Parts: sequence; C-alpha cells; structure tokens
Amino acid sequence: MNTRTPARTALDSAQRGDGPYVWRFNTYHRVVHGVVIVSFFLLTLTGLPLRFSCALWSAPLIRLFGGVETAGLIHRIAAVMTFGYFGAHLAWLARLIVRTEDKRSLFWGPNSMVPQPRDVVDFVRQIRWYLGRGPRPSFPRFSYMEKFDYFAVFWGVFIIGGSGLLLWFPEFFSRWLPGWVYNVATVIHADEALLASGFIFSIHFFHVHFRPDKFPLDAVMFHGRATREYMEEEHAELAEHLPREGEPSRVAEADRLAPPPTPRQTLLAAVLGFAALAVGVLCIGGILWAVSFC
Amino acid sequence: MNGPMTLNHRSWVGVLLLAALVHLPPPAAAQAPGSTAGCALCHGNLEFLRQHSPDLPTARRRLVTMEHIRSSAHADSTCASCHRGFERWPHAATSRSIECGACHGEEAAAWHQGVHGEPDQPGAEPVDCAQCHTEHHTASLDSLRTGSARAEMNATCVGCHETSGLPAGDPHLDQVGCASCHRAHDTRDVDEVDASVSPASQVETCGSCHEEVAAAAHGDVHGEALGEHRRVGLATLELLGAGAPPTCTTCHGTHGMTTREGPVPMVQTEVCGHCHEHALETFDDSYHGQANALGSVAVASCSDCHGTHGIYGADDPRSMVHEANLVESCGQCHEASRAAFVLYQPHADHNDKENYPLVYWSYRLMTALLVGVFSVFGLHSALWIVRLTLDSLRASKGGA
Repeated sequence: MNTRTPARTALDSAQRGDGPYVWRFNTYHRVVHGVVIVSFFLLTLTGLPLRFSCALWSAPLIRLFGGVETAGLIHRIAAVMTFGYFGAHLAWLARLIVRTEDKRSLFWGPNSMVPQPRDVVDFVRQIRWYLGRGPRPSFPRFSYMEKFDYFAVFWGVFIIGGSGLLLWFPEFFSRWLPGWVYNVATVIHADEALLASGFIFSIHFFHVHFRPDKFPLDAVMFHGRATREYMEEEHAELAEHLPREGEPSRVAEADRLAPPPTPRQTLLAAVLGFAALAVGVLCIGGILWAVSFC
Repeated sequence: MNGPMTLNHRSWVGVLLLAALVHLPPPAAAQAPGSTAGCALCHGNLEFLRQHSPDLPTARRRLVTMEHIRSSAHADSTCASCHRGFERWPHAATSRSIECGACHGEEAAAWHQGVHGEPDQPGAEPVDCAQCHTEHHTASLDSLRTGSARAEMNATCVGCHETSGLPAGDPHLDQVGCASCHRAHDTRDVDEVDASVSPASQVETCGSCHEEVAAAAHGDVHGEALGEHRRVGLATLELLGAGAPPTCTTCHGTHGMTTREGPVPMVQTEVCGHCHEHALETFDDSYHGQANALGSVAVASCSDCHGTHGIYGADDPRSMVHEANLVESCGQCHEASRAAFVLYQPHADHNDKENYPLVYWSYRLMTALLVGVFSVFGLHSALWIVRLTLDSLRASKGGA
C-alpha cells in the first residue's frame, strides 16, 4: 500500500489504483449523459441571465448568445433536446424491462436504480462514518446519491419542462388555464431551474469530482470504465462480484473486464470533463454573485 | 426725424483733417452729415476710429460698415433713428443713443421681468440687448425662426450658458431656438412659478408645438396630479422635488431629451421606475421585465401596456389596463389574448400574501425546497470533507 504507482496520481480518479479495468457505463449511458450535459448547459446559460437579469454578467452573456430572442430560441431547442432524451430513455427502459429475464432485479435489489430501505440505511451509515461512529459504508451498483441524481432528472423534466411548456405557449394553454397560472409557473420554473443547476454544479460536482478522494475529475462517464480499486472504494458491495482476470461476472453480463482507456480517450475525456466543470463552476460563481449583489 | 444739416466750420476741419491723415479723397458733397452714408465716412474707417479712440477694441466697436446695416433688421432705419445728437463732429457731449425699448417697448418690458433684465444673483449686471442681438447686426424675427440666424442666436446663448447646449441626438437640436422654450425676453429660472419651463408651465410651453400630446397629458393621472398640486398652491420648488407629479421634463428630460426610437432612447424602466419603484420591482420579476432588462426590444415595457400621454388608473374605463380593455391591450402582442389569458398578473409581488396568495405560497414553497436541499447536501458534503481530511491526517501521522 505504500508503493504509489504512477496510476495513483492520474488526474482521472477512475484511472487511479490497481487492478484491471471493468466496464461501468455502456455507450448508451455515455451518449445520453453527453446529450444531458449539452442541453443542460444550453438551458442554464440562456436561462440564468433571465432569472438574474439584475446581475452585471447577465446582459453580456445574453449578447454572447445573440440577444434575448436568439437566446430564447436556443433555450427552446435545448428544451426539445431534453424532451427528446427523456422520451428516448423511457423507450430504452421499456426495452430493458422486456429484454431482462430477471425483471425483479431491475426494480429491487443491489443492481436496481429504485430507491429502497437500504438506501436510508446507507445514508445513516454514511453519516455515522462522517462522525467517526462506524466504517465507510459499502455501496451497491448505485449509491443513494447516484439514485437521487438520476431521479432528480425525472423530477426536473416534469416540473421545469412542464412549467416551461406553459410559458412557451401561454396563449394555447389559456384555452383551459387562467392567466395567473403563468405567474405561478414563472416562480416554479425559475426556482426549480436554479435548484437543478445549483445542485448539479455544486453537489453533483462535489460527489463525483471535487471531493478530496476523487479530485479533480472522474471521467468514468466519458470513457465508461474504471479500475477495480476505484470500484472497491466507490461500490464495494458490487466490486466483490466483479469479474477477476479469466473469470466471468457473477451478477451481470455487462460487468466485463475492459481495456484501459487509450491516451487519446483519456485526453478527450479530460478536456470535455474539465470544460464542463469550468463552465459549471463559473455558473455557481455567477449565481453567488447575483444572490449577493442583486 | 433729422432734417438736412449744414456743415459748420468745425465739422469741415475734422473731415479735412481726417482726409489728410488717412489720405482719403475728400468726401462727396452728396454724403450729407447725419445721413447714414455720412456717418459711414468715419465709422467705416478703422484707421480714423483708432486715431480718435482710447484703444483698439473701442475703435473696433465703433466700426460700423454699410454692409452691417443693410443686412440687419434695421436696414430701413437711419443711424440717427437710434443715435441722437451725433450729427456734428466732434460729437456733442449731450449726444446719446436711445434705449431699444423706445421702439421695442414690449420686449423691453418682458426683458425687465426676466432673469437677464433683473439678475437674481447679487451684484450681477443685467445682460442688455446688444449682448444677445449685437449692436447693429441684429437678426430679424423671421430669420430667427429658421435657419442660420437661429443657430447663431442659440450659439450666443450657449456662449454664456456653456453647459446648456443641446447634445447630439437631442430631437430639438437644430430644430428649435433656445427662446422657443425659454422665451426670448421674459426668460426665467426654472424654479420661478412664471417661468415658461417651470413645472407648472411646461404643459403649455411644450404644448405650443406638441398640441396633441399636451391635450392627452392634461387630463391623465399625471396631469391630474400636477393640477391638484397647482390648486393647493405648492411652491414650484416642491414641484421639482421627490414625490412630485411628473411634468414633461420629468420623463423626457431637458437638454439631451430622449425619444422612443431616437438615438438617445428613453429607458422607460428608469424613467417610470424613478417614481413607481414597486411597479418596477415586480416588473423586474416578470418575464417582461427580465427580457427588457437584457435588451429585448420586442418585449413589453411600461408604455406598451399603460400608454404614454393619457395614462389612467386601472379602475378608469379609459385606461389600457382597465379590465374591459385588457384583452385588447395584451392582444397587441399576444394574438390569442382572451379573458382567461389576461388574468395574468404582470406586477405580481411574491411578498404580498394579501393580493397574490398563489405567487406568495409558490415562492415560499420553492424557497423552502431550495434551502432544504442545499442545507442537507451542503452539510453532507462538508462532513465528507472533514472526515476525509481527518482520515488522511491520521494516515500521514501513522505513516510517519
């Protein structure tokens, strides 16, 4: 344990430590996450200036997007992208359910994304670990934090997307809805979006990238694989069942050994990852600025 | 007014002396002394004037050529019309130029009323006719109303009132004279009730050109408020102070006036929001206000919903925002505007539980959600940092 291999100092925490690489996210996961990143940034960068129109940076940012009208168009295009990936994901889930033999495992147990009592237990254990009252909890395939992030997108698309549609087509919806609905929709859309962007750019970034044991980057969602040591640290319960050299996985066919990311993949993942982190951190700075000085 | 004069001995000596001095041919007998042409003999000759004046500036002031006179408003008058007793040379000690007011009585009386005739600053000298009109090259009233003479006169005003020139982009620049708004002779300070530009007089003064606008503004909420202040007899300075009802210049400015489309556009949120602070705050919370603040020209600003001149309270049927007119007013932008649609509250206040309970509670709920989520996960993250730091400290101690 005292020998520090060069891999331990890798920028990308998914490439640190010993052991063979294993696949964590497949191409579909990574592509969808990429679309989420792009659409989410477009929505945030064109929406935050409206929410904080009083801030010094908002007018220049809107000009960068070609003015209020063009920025509004980009916001709507990104909204369509969002509804698109959301619909595509629902279809993919349906396909996954149909194709999976052990359907129960999708909805319950250590491989499921569905929140369950053990997540509450894990949360309590995590707090106990913080306070020095117990060992670091071992997470299954998805930690309670990852489940929260995943379902936050559902919640966000429903709440922000729904209120956004109302505000996009107010005349149309006024056939059935009174005008004050748009007052409420404005408040909900703006604050829920502030919650979403603020959460992703601070809490999600901290959970995944910025906490001391992962800093400064975890590119597992970009190249899809991580070292065995990474998995033992982050998903200890799953790691026990991950394949070792020359033997298949004991829990899922998808859990296969992976070739290490090529230098080019590593570089690309780092560039994309750091670019996204930088924009997100700038957004947090802008939000804090606006909240303090407006 | 002045009959034919015969030259006496002394006059002739003077003329001959002049001719000898400046080598001029002797004057023709036709140029009778006392006639305009006769005066020009000496007053058209700077060299002669210099010999007989204490200094060059005085000589220059005494220089009057026939061209000066012919192009002035006084071309049809003779020198003797205004300068009495100068027929002989050397001029008699009793010779005097008459006051302009002898002919221009009305103007002189008005001048006496105004700030140029009776300066309100102690020790200040009156600004006399010649300082604006010059002594001889006086422009005619007709020429002052148009063209270069007006520009010259404006330049004369700005010569003293250095900071008062109209800046580029002002819609009045090169279009009106200073006197059009400030009056030519009865010019007063803005804080005098009777000044043409006082808050109490602006609607009349501006309305002399902008008739329709003034008529509309007279009866609307701003005009009513102004009228009310005048009825109860508030001093002019109070009309200029904070909380005063708006006059023309309150919204449009004075020198460097703004226009809706012009090079210096009126920023309505600033102008209207100066008094209507709460309306501006709630506007800024709406999409209209946010897009407006970011430079959208398509989105509604104050006057798109409330009008410009002719603004009435929401309970007045003449108002654009009266409930009977909302569908039409909103319909200017929102094509499918209908009764349900105009139930939108463009100035909803999320802190006003009485009037906007839904917005109030939505805002409270969302704020609680944000504070809750960020508190829980913020603490969760902070404790995580503490734990990892403690562990690594312990590990490095153990390792050492």
